[in-house]
Amino acid sequence: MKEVDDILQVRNLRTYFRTDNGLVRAVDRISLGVRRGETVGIVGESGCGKSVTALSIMNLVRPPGRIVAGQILYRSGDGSTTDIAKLHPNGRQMRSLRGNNIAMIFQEPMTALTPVYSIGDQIAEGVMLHKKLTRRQARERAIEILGKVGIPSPEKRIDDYPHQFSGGMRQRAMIAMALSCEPEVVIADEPTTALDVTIEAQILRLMKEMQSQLDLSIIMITHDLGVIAEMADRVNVMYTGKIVEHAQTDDIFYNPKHPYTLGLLQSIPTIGDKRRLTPIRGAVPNLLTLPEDVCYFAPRCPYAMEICAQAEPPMYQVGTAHQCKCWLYEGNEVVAV
Amino acid sequence: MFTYILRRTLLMIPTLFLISVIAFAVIDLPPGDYLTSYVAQLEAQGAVVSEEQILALQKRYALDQPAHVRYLNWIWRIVRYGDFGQSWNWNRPVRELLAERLPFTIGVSVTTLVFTYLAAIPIGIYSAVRQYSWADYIFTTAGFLGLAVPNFLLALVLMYVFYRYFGVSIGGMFSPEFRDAAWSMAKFRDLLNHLWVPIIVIGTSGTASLIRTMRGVMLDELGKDYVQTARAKGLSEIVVIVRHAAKVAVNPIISVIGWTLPQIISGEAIVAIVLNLPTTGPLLYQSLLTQDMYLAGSFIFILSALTVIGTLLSDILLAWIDPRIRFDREG
Repeated sequence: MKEVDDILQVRNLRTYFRTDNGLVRAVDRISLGVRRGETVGIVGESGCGKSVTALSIMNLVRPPGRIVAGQILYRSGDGSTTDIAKLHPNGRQMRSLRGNNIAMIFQEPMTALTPVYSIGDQIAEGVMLHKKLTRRQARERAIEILGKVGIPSPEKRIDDYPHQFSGGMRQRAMIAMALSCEPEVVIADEPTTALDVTIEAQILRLMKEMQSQLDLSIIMITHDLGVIAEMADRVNVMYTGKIVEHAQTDDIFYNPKHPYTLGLLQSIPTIGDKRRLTPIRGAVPNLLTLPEDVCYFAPRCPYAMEICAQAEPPMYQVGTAHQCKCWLYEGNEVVAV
Repeated sequence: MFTYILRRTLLMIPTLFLISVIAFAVIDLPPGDYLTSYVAQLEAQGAVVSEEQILALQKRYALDQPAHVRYLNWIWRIVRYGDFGQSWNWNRPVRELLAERLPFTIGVSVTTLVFTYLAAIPIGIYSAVRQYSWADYIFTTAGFLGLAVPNFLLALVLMYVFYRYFGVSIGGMFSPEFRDAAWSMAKFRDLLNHLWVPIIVIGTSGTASLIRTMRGVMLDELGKDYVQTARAKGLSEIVVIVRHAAKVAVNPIISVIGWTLPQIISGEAIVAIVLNLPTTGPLLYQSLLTQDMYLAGSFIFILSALTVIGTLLSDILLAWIDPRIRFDREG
């Protein structure tokens, strides 16, 4: 990882939830970097900590959750570096980054927009806040950005309310809202999961267009390997709060190293293939009952060894820009974070 | 929006008609009439009432007519002349009695309503945002107490406490020296000094239940995705809560204004009797006891009509605040 290029760098991040039933280590010592203009994917099953990672980067983790340790370094255009993990979640400094430098696109366009304000008002709200524009200027900006994301006759639709938009249009409006302040990093948390496939393709294409126009860095969070293949330059595979493999997208698909990644790939159906799918056996373990310092995938892993239940594997360098957290690769160089 | 208001207003007409029929029926159904109690009263005083006199009285008050004729007569005079008939008990036009009492009732009800909402909405929001904090527990406890204590008891306790420890009589709407005085600044100030008692007494239970509703709805809304979206824009927490979550959460609260009004008006009747307020409540109660039917019917009709109008206003307010409602049919 060439750190100098990274606009965003997460180091050893831990986000824990203190619940009545015990401590949930939703994000446990993960590290990842995002370069200017690239798309980094985070892929994993439900509950693996993808969304908590996203919320941590936005510093929007709500109690009982909390960022306990680690750094989230944001290097802005002017060269200054901010550690988001150290900022107060509701502090002025964090709020001036949020929506302005780092924006987020949420999963459910149906529920992620406030029902009682027009689309235009909701976009203008952020623009007025961060760019210090007047109401009229902000409105013009909202029309412009709505047009950019492909809303037809935006000068009319701007006064519509969310319930008057279709799902796909709402997600476009959501993207417009995220892009309205020209952020450098956009975190998309399952942006197409709630949409049907044809709309999904449109939205992904739109995101790519916007990325090349605005030189955006995108963190694409999804459980869908198809979306990853379509969008990501690099991929992080997450399992039970940890990143277990990180590689270029091609390497993940053609040269997967971690047994979990392998399992994920084998459970994708292919058209024309008559063989039975091989699901990953077992289920995602309950994060509450996990002992520390073992490999959490071991109980479901076809390659499990004795050591897997005894010690947590370190992150091994297994190829060019390819890391894997698995005892199978013992002997390779250990990646320091 | 205009068609919405028009449609809702037109829908009021059949409702009002039904109310008038029911109001009349309720008054007319019990056996006996005003004459019966009037005659009984006269006889108790030792007067001899002859058959002819009773018949003459019956004729005079149109009591010999069948019910539907009397109803039509009654409603026609209201619609055509604004004449609500004659109160037998007071021997005065009902309209005069209404004009005397109704402004106080409307005044007390509206101020109570405003007080209820002004107190309940911020407290509900606060309780939700600081759920399980000590302040939330205090409001919750006070709220349940407010719900559980009957209004009239609260009125009696307040009157006792103020008389016993401060030597002030807080009953009535005015101090004795202002009761028959003409309106002046001093009289108005005196009114304000008395008004807070019925407002608190009548408003407590309503406020308590509204706080619970507001708190519950607010908790729901705070957990919704759009709140997180608003935060992700970089808005401050107070803006997220007030401008986004509370704006949505206030909807169900506004839509119950319509139901709150009748609660306030009927609650007001009992409290007014206890506190000796010059509102419609005690008069209505009395007219029901003496079967003074035009007076009672008119009161019931007017109060119900006011409630219907209140509901209409709350619906319009709701449509104004929530776009999802006003677009439902025209969208």
